[in-house]
Amino acid sequence: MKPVSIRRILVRAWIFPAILATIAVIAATVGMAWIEYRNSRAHLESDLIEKSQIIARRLLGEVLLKDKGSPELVAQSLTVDLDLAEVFLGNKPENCGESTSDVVVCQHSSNGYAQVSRRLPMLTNPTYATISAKPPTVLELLQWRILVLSAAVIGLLLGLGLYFQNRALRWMVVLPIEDLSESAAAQAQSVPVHWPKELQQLSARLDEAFLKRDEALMGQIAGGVIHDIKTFLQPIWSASLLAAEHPIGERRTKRLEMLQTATQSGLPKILRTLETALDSSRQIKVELNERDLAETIRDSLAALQPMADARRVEIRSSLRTTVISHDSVQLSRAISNLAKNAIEAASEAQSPLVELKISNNPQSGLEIIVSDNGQGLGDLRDGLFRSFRSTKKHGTGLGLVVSKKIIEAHRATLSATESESLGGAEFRITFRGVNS
Amino acid sequence: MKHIYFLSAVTTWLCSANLLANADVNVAKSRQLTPVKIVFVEALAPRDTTSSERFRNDYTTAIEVAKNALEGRLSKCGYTFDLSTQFYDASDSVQAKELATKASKEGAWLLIGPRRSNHYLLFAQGSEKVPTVSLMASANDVSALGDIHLTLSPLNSEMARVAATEAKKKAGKAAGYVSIVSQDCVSCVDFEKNFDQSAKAIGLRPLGRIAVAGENLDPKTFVSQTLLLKPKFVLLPNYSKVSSSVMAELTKAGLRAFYVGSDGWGDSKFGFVQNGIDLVGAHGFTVRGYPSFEQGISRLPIKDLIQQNQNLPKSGPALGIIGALSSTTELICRNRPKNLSQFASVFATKGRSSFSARWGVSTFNMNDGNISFSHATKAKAKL
Repeated sequence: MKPVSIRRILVRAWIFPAILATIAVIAATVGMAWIEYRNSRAHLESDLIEKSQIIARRLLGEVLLKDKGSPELVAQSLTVDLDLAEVFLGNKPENCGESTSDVVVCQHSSNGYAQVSRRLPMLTNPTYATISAKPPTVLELLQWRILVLSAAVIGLLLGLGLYFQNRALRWMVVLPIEDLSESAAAQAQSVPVHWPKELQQLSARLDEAFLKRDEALMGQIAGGVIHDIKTFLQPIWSASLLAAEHPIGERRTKRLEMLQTATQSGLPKILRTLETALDSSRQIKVELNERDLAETIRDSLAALQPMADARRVEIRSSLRTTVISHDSVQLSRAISNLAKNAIEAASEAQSPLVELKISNNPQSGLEIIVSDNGQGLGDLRDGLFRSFRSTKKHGTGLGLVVSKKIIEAHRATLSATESESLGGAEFRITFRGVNS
Repeated sequence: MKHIYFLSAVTTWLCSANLLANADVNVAKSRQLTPVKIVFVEALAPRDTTSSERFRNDYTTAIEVAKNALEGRLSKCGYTFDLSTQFYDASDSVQAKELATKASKEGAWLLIGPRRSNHYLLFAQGSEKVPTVSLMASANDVSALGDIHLTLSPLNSEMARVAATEAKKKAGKAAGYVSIVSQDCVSCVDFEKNFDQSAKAIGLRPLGRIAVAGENLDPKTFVSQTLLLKPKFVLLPNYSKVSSSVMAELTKAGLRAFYVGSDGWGDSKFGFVQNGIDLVGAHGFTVRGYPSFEQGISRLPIKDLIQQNQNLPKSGPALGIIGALSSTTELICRNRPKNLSQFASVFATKGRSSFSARWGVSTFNMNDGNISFSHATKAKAKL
């Protein structure tokens, strides 16, 4: 699963309340428009009653002028000036009822418009000025400005909230955690007082955990290293005892030769074990020189060939001349460790096979790939490069840790996956930004 | 003997005192002045409140100045002025009729009525027995109202004739013109009809006629059509608000023509044409029944009394008010009516000679929205 940034988590947390707020604003605005719509007809009729008085007198002036007046024209211009749907002069429309009052609100006009009819004063013949206006729809009454303004305010609050919360989290949580991780390697340090309470408690628990881990680390180093040294020392001790038992003579000479062989074989292993234990606890320094990487790998493989032969493991390599800047001694150690692990893993397969190749990945860079057709990584995948994780019965679990340190000292990365081609494990050393 | 002389002296003194006292009463009785109730009725446009307020002040001041100038003459004749003024909303023309009816019932001898022709026609309807005079109504229909309803303005037939002649001088022979006329204005329609008759008689060519209504005109109704007809001049016999908005739109659209108006354009003091910001580039002329104030006042018999007054407003309506009151004073002093009925009778028979278009037809130029007096032409048509 791809890691998600704090910013994205915050956005997701705020989106839901923002959506709720927006829905609430829309509901409120539409609700207000609906209420106004319900009242609009009454307001419109009241407005029309007022306007009808002005219109009636205006039209009366034209009617009184007889053939000199222009009531129809004036009615038309009043329609535009007073923003009405219609103004006309004549008899009272039928839908205005039988009422004898001077002004009547007409119900159920044919087009649904609000309509008022007012009798012109002074005239003996009843003449009415009838005016109508279109009632507004809910959409027309919707306060778009309020809606847009509210959405803008919500957006602004959302943005500001995210910004300030992001900053607060960064200041109060992320930076302290970064400090914590940096101080994790050192002794427990006093916690700054401005940290949140939870982080201060976390810091105390981490100090305790690191202390216990240090103790466990020491225990495991001691346990693993001592065990390995004991294993390598045992034949030397036995051979030396045997050599001391017999008096000087041919048998004793043979025993001494056995002691020498055991010593020659065992001491380097003891030294290597001690060196590896040492390397796991310190920074590894590399001396970089321009050399052929393929040659470095071949040197590593040459030393492992007897072991591979003994286990009947086939080693295939696809190596081309690739000159890069590297420490051939240290890198050879790392590659040897990876190759040795691969040989050991592959030896359990029916047709044991280990592949080594140099590849040029256009996206990531130069790669050394070591893969086998063994059982694969399985449960060991998590925490593979942590100290003391080993499949071997007597392993210190430091080999991959040291290999990773050597590779990282070369500004490269070491990763482990399942091999798609061989079905076992695949270790990949990637020199980012380096192309052959 | 001494007591006889004393008694005679006392008797003489008593008789003299009695005679003197009676003489005072007789003199007092003979100096009781007959009030001449005159009601002024005029419309104010409520939308343009600043201009309306100025107009109201000028109007009432003119009445006051005229009254003060004429009161002495009138009182020597045995009368006194009883003047009052009523203003009403110009958008409600029916009020003109209602106010006339009310003033008639309240015993007015004379009603001096609204300037607008359609208002005055209704005004006259409300005053069946009381004489009325309009300061400016010019529609030909006014002359058909009867002998007791008169106007100080030349009729549209005369004004249109003068306007057509002027237009021909400016535009040349056989010039074409377009008329844009407010159909809801009686005087405007009447002026246009008369102008067409006069124009045809002297060879001008009407190219088209566009009818408009109301005050808020949509330029689409007249701009493109007018531009298409390419007139030499545009006849705009409408009120000032409509005329100025039409001129502004046509000038903005690039029309190369001058404009001809009637007395609805206003003058250099009132109206929407004068100082119209959007009228830069617009040119033309208008005709009306009043000349410049200085010219007009010089023709009044009471000019010496009037000219000294610092407060006298210098506008066309002020001239009309002074002229109307002056003519009323003369009519009354010459004929000595005792009541309304006698006054109305005198007015009907002799009013036309007193209340006439004494100033003829005046032409005012309009340049970039500024109206200025050009010249006056004597009226040919008889009232």
